[in-house]
Amino acid sequence: MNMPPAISFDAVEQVFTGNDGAPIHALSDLSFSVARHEFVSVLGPSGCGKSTLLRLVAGLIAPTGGSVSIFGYPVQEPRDEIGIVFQKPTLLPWYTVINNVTFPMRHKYGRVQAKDTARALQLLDLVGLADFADKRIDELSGGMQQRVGIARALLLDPDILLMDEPFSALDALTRDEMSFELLRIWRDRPKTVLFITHSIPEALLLSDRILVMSERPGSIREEIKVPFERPRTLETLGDPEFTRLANHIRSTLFSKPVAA
Amino acid sequence: MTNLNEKKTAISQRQQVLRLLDRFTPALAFVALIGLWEISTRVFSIPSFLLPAPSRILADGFAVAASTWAGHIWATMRVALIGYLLAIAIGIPMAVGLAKSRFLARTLYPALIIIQSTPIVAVAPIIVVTLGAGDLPRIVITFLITFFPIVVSTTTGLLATPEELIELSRSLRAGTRREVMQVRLPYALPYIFSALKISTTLAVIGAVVAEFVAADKGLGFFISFSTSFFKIPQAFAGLVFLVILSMLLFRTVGFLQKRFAPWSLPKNER
Ligand SMILES: Nc1ncnc2c1ncn2[C@@H]1O[C@H](COP(=O)(O)OP(=O)(O)OP(=O)(O)O)[C@@H](O)[C@H]1O
Ligand SMILES: [Mg+2]
Repeated sequence: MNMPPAISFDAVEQVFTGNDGAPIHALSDLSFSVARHEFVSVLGPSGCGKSTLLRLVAGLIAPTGGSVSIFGYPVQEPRDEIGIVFQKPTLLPWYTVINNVTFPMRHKYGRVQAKDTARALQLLDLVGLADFADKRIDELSGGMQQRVGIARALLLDPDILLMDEPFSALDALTRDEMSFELLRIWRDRPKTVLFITHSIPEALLLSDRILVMSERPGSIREEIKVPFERPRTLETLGDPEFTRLANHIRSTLFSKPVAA
Repeated sequence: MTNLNEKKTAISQRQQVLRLLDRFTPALAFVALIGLWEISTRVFSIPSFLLPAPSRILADGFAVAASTWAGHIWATMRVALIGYLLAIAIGIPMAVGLAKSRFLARTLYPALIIIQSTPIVAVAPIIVVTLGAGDLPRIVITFLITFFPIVVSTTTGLLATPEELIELSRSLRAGTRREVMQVRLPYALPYIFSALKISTTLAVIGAVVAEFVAADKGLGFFISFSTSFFKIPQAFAGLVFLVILSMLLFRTVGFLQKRFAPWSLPKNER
């Protein structure tokens, strides 16, 4: 039996029209796939099309060329089995923290049941914000808001979790803590995760595989299989291989493509 | 030690006095202004038909029976309120239509701009002729003056909703109705409330203008009636009630916003 990959991109092109009417070539000939329950990180320079890639998976935009499929089916619109953590927190200031977490239920089905609220509380506990359930969004720091966004993405227990630099607003310590927490969630409830980040150590610590993207127009420059045993711990960070891989990725990111 | 404490209490007392002063500055300024007005009318013996003294306005105001006042105030308030509420009830759904439908935007917007560019004061007599006696023409005039800012502000707010929030809504495939109700309209609330505040004063203006044209009751009627009999202080008393009415409506909207949508206010006003 051959299961289709959870996510697959086949020669995807994405061209936007800028405000001045000039075309912006965001992605070019982008092909990769993510297996079911695989944890894949995407690293790449700013503006190379990482968020665009994520929007394509989410079905928020349609590719101008090539095809994007989920579980073997071309993406035509947003789908229920996907949870998204956006690059900006995108919380709704007119709702309390808990109501932001239950927002997917309220927005999709028009009502929130007691069990949804209970689950939301559990998720808030998970991201360390149990005491803030009834606070308003503007009473939270940027990092706390990002964590509310993570809890919200997990509410419907999605098969595919798309995360766009979810930890970038967190301090280093919380960041490590959240990374391990994410690994635990992923182990307990296996999901396919597509994780966009700017942090090489974060990508190495979390992923099965890392896609390194080229500058705009973005395509895959290199695919790196991350060899470390799971569960990964703080010790993983000290592994000499870890440092070697990190240096390798860093040089890949910095090197300009050889002129053809 | 005691010396230090005394110093401290002295400082905190001074701070308290300053804070009280700060708090009552507007009231004090108001009283001072009235005082100045009273004194200058007396010192320069300004005739009361040019600028009546506050004391004269008060006296002439009290000379009119309370029930008469109540009748006029109620007439104006009724028209202003009904016109205003009608403007909200029609203006906000219209704004949703303008924001969500390119077709409506292309057909309705030009018509709206024509209505807005027409001086309503000039059209008021025509409206009165067409719609006859009764509250109806007055309500229509008030409505026409108030609803444009509501439509424009609400549309602006609906369209200003950040793309990320719309993407969040789209990713949940919730449909247009919920997108408007749970995302766009709440986001537009600060815009809506600022229009609602401006429109309270416009509503009173609308009602008064309508009463100038044709009415046998209401503060606008009372003022034009008093003026035509050279009872200037009495007209001023009517004006005072108009100002109070305007302020009351304005304050009520502010209160409702604070009570039901505090997040839509800047932090220092909550
Ligand atoms: N809706 C759009 N219209 C026009 N251009 C767009 C649009 N969305 C993205 N772009 C352009 O596509 C390119 C890639 O954008 P994208 O947001 O995907 O970058 P990114 O890799 O996520 O960057 P960052 O790491 O800074 O978040 C950019 O040059 C951007 O200007
Ligand atoms: Mg991005």
